[in-house]
Amino acid sequence: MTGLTASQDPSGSTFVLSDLSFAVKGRTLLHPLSLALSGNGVTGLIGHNGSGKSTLLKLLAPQHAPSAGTIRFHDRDLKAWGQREFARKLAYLPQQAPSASGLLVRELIALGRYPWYGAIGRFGSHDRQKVDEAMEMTSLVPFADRLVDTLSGGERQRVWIAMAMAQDASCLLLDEPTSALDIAHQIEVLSLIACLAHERALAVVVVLHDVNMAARYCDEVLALHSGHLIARDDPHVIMEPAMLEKIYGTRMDVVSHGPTGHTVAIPL
Amino acid sequence: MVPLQMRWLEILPLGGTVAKVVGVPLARARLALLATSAAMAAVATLAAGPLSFVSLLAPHLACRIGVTRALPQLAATALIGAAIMVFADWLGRNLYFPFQIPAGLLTSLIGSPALVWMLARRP
Repeated sequence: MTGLTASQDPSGSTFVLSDLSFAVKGRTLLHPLSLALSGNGVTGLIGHNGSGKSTLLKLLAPQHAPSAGTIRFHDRDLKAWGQREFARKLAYLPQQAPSASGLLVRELIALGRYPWYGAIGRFGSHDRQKVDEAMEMTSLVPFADRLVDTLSGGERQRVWIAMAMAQDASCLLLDEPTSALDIAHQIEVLSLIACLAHERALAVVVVLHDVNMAARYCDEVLALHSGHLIARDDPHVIMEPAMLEKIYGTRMDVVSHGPTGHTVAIPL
Repeated sequence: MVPLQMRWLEILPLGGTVAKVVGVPLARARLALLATSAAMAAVATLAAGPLSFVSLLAPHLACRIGVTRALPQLAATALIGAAIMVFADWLGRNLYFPFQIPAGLLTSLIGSPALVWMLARRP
């Protein structure tokens, strides 16, 4: 499986950032940052609004070019990657997915195969099989012939995740995939992401607003504050009142829920 | 030309972000599509003379009747455009018999108010 071979990178890191920064019109959104993001599992990016978490994700995608510094992806500079070649390795889901008017679920997911068949290549049986697989993974088979526009928010989010799965990338970047969803669908989408990440050995980087969701589904959490990385640790280390106050600038208490063992942060 | 650029026509309406994610060379694709359509319009005008507003009216009509995907819209646009031209030509020959009103003039006269009306109606 491509996902497995891609993660067996000699350097062991998916992303290596050195002195990466981003500024617009004299405002620095991300201060020089150096770090390595390792292979598998779910990495959460948290922080207050405007902390630079989405910016960082867009630089990795790369939807923006960095103002300074370099990003290496699978031990190769980001600029050295061909567009389609890169798209086979990495999929990015923006915060607001565009409307897909007139497209059926199956058709939208099939567009995820573009990096493999290209502008003039044929959509072959292998592509079809990958699309079917992606729909099964995301339990979208009953919706295959529905219009994407007619689906609910949670279902539509699953379609975009399925499109990324059909893309067969080993790295997945998600920008607040749950921002428009109710609590049940947040759980549904995030457990799907976590499950796919572990089953298929994907490297997932996800921007999350809700620290409780981040603690529950991420293997590692990176916290940003006004463009600086202020913490990087296991979720249970992040879930400490002092740490949370540093991240969000508001006093929080942490309680442990007995039956599930989840820790929950409550603003005071 | 269409089969060569079909995939781009399907993906580009989803926006630049998504197109970039799946690895479409954005600038190149947009330029190529623009050049192709300009060249095809030029050839058509050379062959048939200026027939204003059909090209603006037909795709919008196709959209209106619910054909929004790239390939079906292309086919529907061609059909609607041809139908409008045949109708305009017939009208031009019969409206003021035995004199003929050029089909291009009629399409402009009827087509431009129709287009303005359609644009104004769009919410």
